Amino acid sequence: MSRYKKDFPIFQNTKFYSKDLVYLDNSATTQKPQVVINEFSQFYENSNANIYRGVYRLSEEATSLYEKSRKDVADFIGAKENEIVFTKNTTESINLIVLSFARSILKKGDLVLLSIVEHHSNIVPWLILQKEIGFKIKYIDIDDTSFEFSNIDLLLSENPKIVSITHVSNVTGIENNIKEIANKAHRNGAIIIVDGAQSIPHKKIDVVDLDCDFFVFSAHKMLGPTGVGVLFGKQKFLDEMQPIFGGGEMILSVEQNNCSFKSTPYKFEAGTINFADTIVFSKSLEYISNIGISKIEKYIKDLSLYTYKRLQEVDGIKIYGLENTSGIYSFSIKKIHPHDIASFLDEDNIAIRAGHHCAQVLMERFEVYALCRVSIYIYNDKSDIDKLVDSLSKISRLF
Amino acid sequence: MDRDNYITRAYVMDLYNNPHNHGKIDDYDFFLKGKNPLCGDRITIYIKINKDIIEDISFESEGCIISSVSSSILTDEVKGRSISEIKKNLKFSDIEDKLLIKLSSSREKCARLSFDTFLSILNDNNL
Repeated sequence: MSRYKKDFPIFQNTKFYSKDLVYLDNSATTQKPQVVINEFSQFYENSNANIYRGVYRLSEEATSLYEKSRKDVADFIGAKENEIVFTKNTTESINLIVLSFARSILKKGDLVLLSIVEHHSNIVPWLILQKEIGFKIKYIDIDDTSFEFSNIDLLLSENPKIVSITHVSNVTGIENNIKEIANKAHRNGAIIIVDGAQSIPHKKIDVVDLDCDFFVFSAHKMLGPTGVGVLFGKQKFLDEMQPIFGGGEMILSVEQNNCSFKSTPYKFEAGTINFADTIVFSKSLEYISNIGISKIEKYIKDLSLYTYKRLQEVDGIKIYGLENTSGIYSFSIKKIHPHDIASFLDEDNIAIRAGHHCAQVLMERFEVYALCRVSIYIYNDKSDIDKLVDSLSKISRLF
Repeated sequence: MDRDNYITRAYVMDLYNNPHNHGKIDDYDFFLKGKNPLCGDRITIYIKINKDIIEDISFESEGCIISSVSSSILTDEVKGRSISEIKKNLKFSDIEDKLLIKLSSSREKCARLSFDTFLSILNDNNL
C-alpha cells in the first residue's frame, strides 16, 4: 500500500460493499490529507478576519498568513512574491491573461498559437477575444504515433505574438518540453503562456529555468482547496497589465471620475478574495515539500510506467497516448461506451473519468466523442492499478 | 447506489444485447434524430401512426447501455397507445421504473434521450 494513503481520511470513509475506494481521477481533483483538512478549522477557529482591512491584531495576523501563502507559492516555483497573483482557478488565471494582457497587445491579423491538446480553458477565452479583435488562431498538431507536437517549428516561423500551451496534456499525459519551446518562442518574438495544471502536482517547476512568461495552475489538483488558482507572470508583464476586476482593496485612491490602482499583484485581487482557502493551500505545499517533489516525481513516474504496462493487458483496449511519466492515460475498450465503463468500475468502487475531458478539439482529432481516463497520485499504488485492470478485463469479457 | 441496482444485471444486459423495436420501420410517417452532445449518444426514432394511434415505432441508436435499454422500454411502452392519451399520461418515471436501475443524475440524461426525442416528434409535428 502507498505509505501516503493513511494520511487521507477519505479512504477510510468511502468503502462500498467492503470494497476500498480506488480513486483514479486525480487530473480532475486530488483528495486532501488530514493536515490540510485540519488547517481549515485551525484558521477559522484562531485567525479569521478580513485581510488588509483591519488595523487590529487578528486582521493583521490573517493578512500575514495570506501573504505567507504568496511567498510559499513563489518559493515553490522559483518566482518572486509580487509575481504571484491569486485567482479562483487555472481557468480564471488564463482568462485574466487573455482579457488584460493579450487584449492590450493583439491586433487584427496577429497570430496566436494554441495546441490541439489544449483544455477548453485555454481555447475558449481566446475564441471570445478573437470575436472582438479578429486575430488568427492556429493549433499545433500532434504526431499520430509519438503524440508529441509535430509542426511547432513551422508555426513558430509564422511569427505568432503569443504561444499558449499546456505543460502536460490532461488527456494523453504527454509532457511538452516547455524550456525548449519557450526558447524558440522568444527567439521568434512571441510571449509564452503555460498551463501547468497537470504538471505541477508531480513535477518540479522552476519558472526561471523554464523561462515562461506566464505559468498558471490550481491548488485543488495538488492536495489543496478548491477556489484557489495561481497566475505567475514575469513582473514586467504584470506591471504593464491593467486590472480587469475593479473593487475594494485593489485601489490606491478613488474619486468621482478617477481612480488609481495598487501595484502588482494587488491590483488584480479585487474585493474580499478567497483568503481562507489560499491560507490553507500553504499547508498543501508544506505537505508536498515534506515528502519532496523529486520523490513524488519518481513515485508517479514508476507507477505511471506500471499502469501503462498493465493497461495493455486488457483485451480490446486502445490507449490514446504513450507510456509517460505523468500517470495520465485515456483509452477506449472495444465499442463499449466510456460512460458504461465508468459505471461498471463504480460498482467496484473505482473512480475514473469518462467524457470529453474538456478537450473536444482533441476528441475530434482522435475521431471519438468520449474516452475513459485514469490519472494517478501519491496515494495510489500498484494494487489500485491491479484492481482497475481486473475490473476492466471483467468488463471487456462482457462484450 | 443500491447494490441491486447495478448496471450489469442480467435483465439490463439482455435488453441491451437484444433490443426491442430496433432498426428502421419501412413505412414510417415521422422521424427525429436526438443527440446528447455531452456523451455523444445519438438516437433516431421512427413512428407510424394510424389516426391517433402509434401503430409502430422503432429506434436506431449509438450510445451507452442506459440510452439503448431505455429506448427499448420507451418504444414498448408507447406502441399501440393513442397519442392524446400518451400526451396526457406518459411520464419519465414510467420509463425509469421499468429500467430497474437507480439512475445517478449524470446518467439520467442518457435515459431521457429517447423519451425527450419521442415527445419532440409529437410536438414538432403537432400530433
